[in-house]
Amino acid sequence: MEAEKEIAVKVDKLRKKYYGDQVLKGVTLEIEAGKVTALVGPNGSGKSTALKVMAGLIRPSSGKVRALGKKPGRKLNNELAFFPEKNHLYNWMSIEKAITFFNRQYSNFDLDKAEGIMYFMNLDPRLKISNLSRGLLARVKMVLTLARRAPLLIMDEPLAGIDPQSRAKILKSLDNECQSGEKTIILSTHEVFEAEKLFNYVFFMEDGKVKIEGSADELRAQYQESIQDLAEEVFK
Amino acid sequence: MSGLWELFKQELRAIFLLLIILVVGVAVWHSLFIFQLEIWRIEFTFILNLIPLVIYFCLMFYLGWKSFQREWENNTIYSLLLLPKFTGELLGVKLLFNFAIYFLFSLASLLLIYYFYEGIMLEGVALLPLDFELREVLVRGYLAYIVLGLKVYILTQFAYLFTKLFAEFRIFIGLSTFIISSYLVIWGGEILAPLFTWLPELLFSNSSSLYWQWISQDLARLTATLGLISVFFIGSSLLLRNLLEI
Repeated sequence: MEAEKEIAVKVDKLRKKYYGDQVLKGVTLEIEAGKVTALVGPNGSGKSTALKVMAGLIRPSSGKVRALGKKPGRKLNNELAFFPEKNHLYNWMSIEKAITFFNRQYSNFDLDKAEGIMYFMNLDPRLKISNLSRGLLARVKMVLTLARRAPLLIMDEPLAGIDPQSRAKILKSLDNECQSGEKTIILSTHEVFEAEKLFNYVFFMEDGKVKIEGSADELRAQYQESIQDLAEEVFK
Repeated sequence: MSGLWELFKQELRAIFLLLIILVVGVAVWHSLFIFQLEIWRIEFTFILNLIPLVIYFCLMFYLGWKSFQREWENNTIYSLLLLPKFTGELLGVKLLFNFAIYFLFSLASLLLIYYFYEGIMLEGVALLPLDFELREVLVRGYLAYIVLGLKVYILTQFAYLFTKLFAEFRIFIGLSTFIISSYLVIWGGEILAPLFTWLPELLFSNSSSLYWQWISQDLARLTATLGLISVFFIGSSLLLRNLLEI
C-alpha cells in the first residue's frame, strides 16, 4: 500500500485577474513535501504569477492557497525562501553585505552554509551587486536562497538568461539541496533540458491553466520521451 | 532588532547622496546670509535664512513619495515583502528615519536662526496680538511645523501606495489622493477634537489670523489630527500587505 503523501503546498481553483486580464484560470496544484516540482510553460502561461501567489506577493482574485499549512504572509515568510526572477538585492551592497543583511533578517539563515555555497559558486564576497553580471547575480541569489534552513524553496526562473557556467553551478547546488529530501522545491523554468533530471513532478501550464501534470518518471514512461521533448510537443 | 537596524541603514544608504547635498547646501546657505548680517538689511537675511525650513518641508513630499517608489523601481520590494516582519514595522523604519532627518535638520536651522536673529524675532512677536514669550511662540510654532511635516510624509506615502492599485493616471490619482486625504485630516481633526477636550489646554487661543489659528490648535485638535494621520499610516500598512502586488 502506498504511503500517504505529505502535501507541502496546496493551491485550489486559483484565479487571478490583473487589470482586466485573467492570468490564472482556476489552477489547482498539490505539491508534495520533500520533492522538486517544476512549473513548465511558455511566457504568459501564469507560472510566475502562481509562484508569487504561493509566496504571498500577489493576492488571488479567488481560490485558496496553503503553504506548509499556512496562508501566505508574514508567518510563512520565515519558512519560505523565494528566488525572484528579478534582481531584488540592494545594488549598493557587496555580496558580503547582502549575506549579512539576510542573516540579520532571517532567524534560519545559515551563515556557514552561505559561505560554503559562495565558495562553491566562485563568488568574491567583495564584489558589488551593481557590478555583477546576470550569471553572477543569479549565483548570489541562489546562495541567499539555499542558505536559509527553510523547508520550502520557491524559485522563479532560476536559470533564465544566464551563462552555461552559472547554470551548471546553480543546477549542481540545487542537486545537492535535493539530496536530503528535507526541502520542498518548486521552480518555474524554460530551461527544461538541463534541469529536468532534478524534477520529481511536473506541471505543464499554458494560458493560465494546468494542461498536463504528473510525476516526471511517469510522464517520461507514458509519452516515451524526455520532459524537454514533451514540453516542445505540448507547447508547439 | 538587528533586522530593523539593517533596514534603517538601508534607508540611510538610499538617500546618502541627497543628505550630503542637503548638509552642504544648507550649511553654505546659512553661512552665506549670516555673513551678510552686517552688510544687508537684517530682515532680508532673516527671511533668506528661513528658506531651508521650507525646503525641509518640501523634502517630506519627496521622501514620502520616494520611500516605496524606489523599492518598486529597483525590485527591492521583493526583499521587503518577503521579510518575516509586519508591514507596520517596514513603514515604521522608513518613517523613523525620514522623520529624524526632518526633525534634526529643521531643529538645527531653527536654533541657528534663533541665535542670530533673536532681536528681530522679539520685535516681530511683540507686534502679534499674543501674550506669549518668543521661546514659547517658537516651541509651539515648531510643534505645528513638525506635525505638518509628519502629515505630509505619511499622506504622500499613502497616496503613492494607493496609486499602485491602478494601471493608469497614477500621478493624477496620487495628487487627488493627497489632496482629499489632507482635507480629511483637517476636517476630521475639527470633528473629532471635542472627543479630546478632557486634555489640558496647551496652545494659543483667541487669535484671529488663519495661520495663527492653525498653529494655536489646542491639544484636543492636535491629538485628533495625529490620530487621523495614524489611520493613514495603518491604511498604508494594510495596502502594502493585502492589496498591493508585485
